[in-house]
Amino acid sequence: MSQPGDADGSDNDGSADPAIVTENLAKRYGDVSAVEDLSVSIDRGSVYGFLGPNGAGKTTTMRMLTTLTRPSEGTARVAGASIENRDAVTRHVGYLPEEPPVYDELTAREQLEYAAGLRDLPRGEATPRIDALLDRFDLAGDADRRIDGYSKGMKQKVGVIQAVLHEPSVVFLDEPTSGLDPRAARTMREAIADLADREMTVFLSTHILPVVDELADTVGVLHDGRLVAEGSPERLKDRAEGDGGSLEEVFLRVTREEQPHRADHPDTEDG
Amino acid sequence: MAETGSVPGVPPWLRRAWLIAVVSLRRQFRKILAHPWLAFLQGFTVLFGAVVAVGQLPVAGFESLWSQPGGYVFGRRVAAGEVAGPRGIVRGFAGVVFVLTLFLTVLKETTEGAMDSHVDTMLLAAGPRSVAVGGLLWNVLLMGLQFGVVVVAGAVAFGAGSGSPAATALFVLAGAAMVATAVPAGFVIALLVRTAFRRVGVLREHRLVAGAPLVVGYFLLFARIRESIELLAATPVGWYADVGLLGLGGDPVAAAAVLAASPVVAVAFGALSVPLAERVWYADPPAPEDDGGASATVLAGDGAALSVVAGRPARAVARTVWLRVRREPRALVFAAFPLALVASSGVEVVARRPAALPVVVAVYGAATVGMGPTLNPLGAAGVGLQAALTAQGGGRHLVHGYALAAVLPGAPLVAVAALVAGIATGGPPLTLLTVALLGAALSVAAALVSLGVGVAMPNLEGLRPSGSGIRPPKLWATTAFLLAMAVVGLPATVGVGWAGAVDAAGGPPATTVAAGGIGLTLVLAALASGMAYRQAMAAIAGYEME
Repeated sequence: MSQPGDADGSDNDGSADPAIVTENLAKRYGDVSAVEDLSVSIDRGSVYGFLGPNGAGKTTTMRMLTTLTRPSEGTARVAGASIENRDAVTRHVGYLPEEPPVYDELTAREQLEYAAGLRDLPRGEATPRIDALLDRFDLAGDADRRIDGYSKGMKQKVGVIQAVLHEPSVVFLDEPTSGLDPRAARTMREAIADLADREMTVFLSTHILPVVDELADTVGVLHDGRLVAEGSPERLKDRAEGDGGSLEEVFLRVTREEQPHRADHPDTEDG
Repeated sequence: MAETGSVPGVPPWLRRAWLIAVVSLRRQFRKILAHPWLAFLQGFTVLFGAVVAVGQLPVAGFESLWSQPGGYVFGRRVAAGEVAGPRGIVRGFAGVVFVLTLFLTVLKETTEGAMDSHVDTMLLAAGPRSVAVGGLLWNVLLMGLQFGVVVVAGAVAFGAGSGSPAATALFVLAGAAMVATAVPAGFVIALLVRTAFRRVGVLREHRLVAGAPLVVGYFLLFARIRESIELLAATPVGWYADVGLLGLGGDPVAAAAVLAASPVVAVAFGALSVPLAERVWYADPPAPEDDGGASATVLAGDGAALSVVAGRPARAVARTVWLRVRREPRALVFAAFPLALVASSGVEVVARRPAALPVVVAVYGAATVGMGPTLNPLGAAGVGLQAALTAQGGGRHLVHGYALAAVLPGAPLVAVAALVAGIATGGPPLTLLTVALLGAALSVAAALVSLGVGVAMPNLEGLRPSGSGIRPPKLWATTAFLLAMAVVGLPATVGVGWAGAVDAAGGPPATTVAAGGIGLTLVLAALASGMAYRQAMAAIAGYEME
């Protein structure tokens, strides 16, 4: 449903409003709770590192924020639009799922032209943008080769380009560096930093803690569907100084199985 | 790529839907061309359909290739003033094509939805309406191209036979109207089925059983083609033929009804597909179900009885095969098509010699047992092949496990089916026992022959990291296996089917002829399965991964 006073239901005017706000967001599948009582506020143009063990609810959260899954409870606004307003949200977001959403039968250029067509990007605008991004990701030489001959890292790069081709204001990246060799991972990290420099908000889910440490302005740790820690990497590390002062120590401490984490007592700093 | 610029008067969502359809069609073509056996199978099927539609031609030597009447002969008969007979048959043929189009759309969309691949990304980029309509348009284009060849061939032949070029154009129009209605109807039915599977646990759990009537209907459509034509000629789906026959004896009211209803039906089903597709795509994943683990354990668990026939590693392989098949039964759909193609021969034999029914059931049942994962064990093992082969005695256990997976449920089922068929034909107890044993023995032989052929001609696509599903066998492996089963089953079929006739003609007694045929089949089965087993074991022992 559109918001009052706004044609597309969003208020994406570059103001200081947060890029993503969630209030008590929850998702339950029958008796199983995937995400519970999630409340975060993410600034525009920042990189939010979203950490959590396998099955913590990270992907479910991203699916709710991209409107692919309806929440069981709570509300959220992405780029100023309520996630109940699918059209308004989707035009402002890009999403790279864990498995790069590219077709083996197409070339990278065909895949990206297809993505541009689905987003209604005029050809005159899309072509130079595709060329520039292919160049930026070192794929220009392979752009007219079929994707079935690509390595996982190359597919991942095509997936990232596809996610940002329409220059969304918020981009969700699910494990963008997993399975990449060191060189490709570095290119990906630089690209993510580049997105943030261009005022895109990056919601980055990953297991690779050094990536978050290097890139994220804020880190949120999800465990059993609940936000158990949140803050800047430095502040979180300060808190874990007694345990070694690394983000890894913070992660291990707050996601210990035996440690109870109640929604009403989250171990959060900024949230 | 397809043009994505704006087209005046075309709403953006429809433009995006068209883009999705065209790109999906291009991907489909490239996928087919990348697999020569698939291209051959599709090309052969379309060509065969075109030959059936054209039928007999006044060309020297053509009769030896195909002798059944088709579009040309019916055109000649209509031109000669005969209307009722050809009209009935053409209506029936139109009905068969309609049902086939509908069936194939339902089957394709329930087993692998048009937009299943990366649907999330498409939904975010283009929205559900474009994606749903794009998927529907893709199906229309795909079926239109496949059936279009058949329809155009039949239309041209009819036009030539009747001397009416207008009839050719009208039959093409009828074909277009048919695809425009049958495909959207099938698309919507498939979405309803998928929604039901998602929402109703019992249906989801027994989806293989729920889908069985569809497959049985498909078999019957071909196995009883004459009855199918007669039946469908009397229904509204036969009215498409009246469009083609306008001015040549076709019912103008029926033709007008079809032409008026087709666009309405197409648009209505198209509109209906959007909310239904949204229900499928945005639905929460189904709750955990009984995934077959218990039944698989009963079949191949650690029970003492089974440990007599197979060791634990082989039982573990068999159990894994069952679990995978149970959880992804659609992976075995590939087996239905070749079996349907050869089913008509069996039906023909039984129509001529009803006494052969139990043997035909035994032979076809056994062939079905061997048409599963045993026909491509290396490809079916897929990404797990390396683990299986690097285990101690892994290759041997793999062969034994796959054989066990096929024989354990297959042999008793085929034996019972042959027994039931024997009771239906009124055989004495000894005959009933014999055909039941024959069914079981042929099932064991089929599994081993299938393994021998499958290991020799593997389809290794499943070894790619992205291919974790059960891969279909190679076309040549399927052909070789079915040919071997035909040779093995022939003596018993002929012996039992023609025993009475031989006896009546003064030959040996019927029981001797029947026993001789069955005996020879058993000898052939033993020889073939022995050779195949040795070949499978030797090949897998020396197998080197690429």
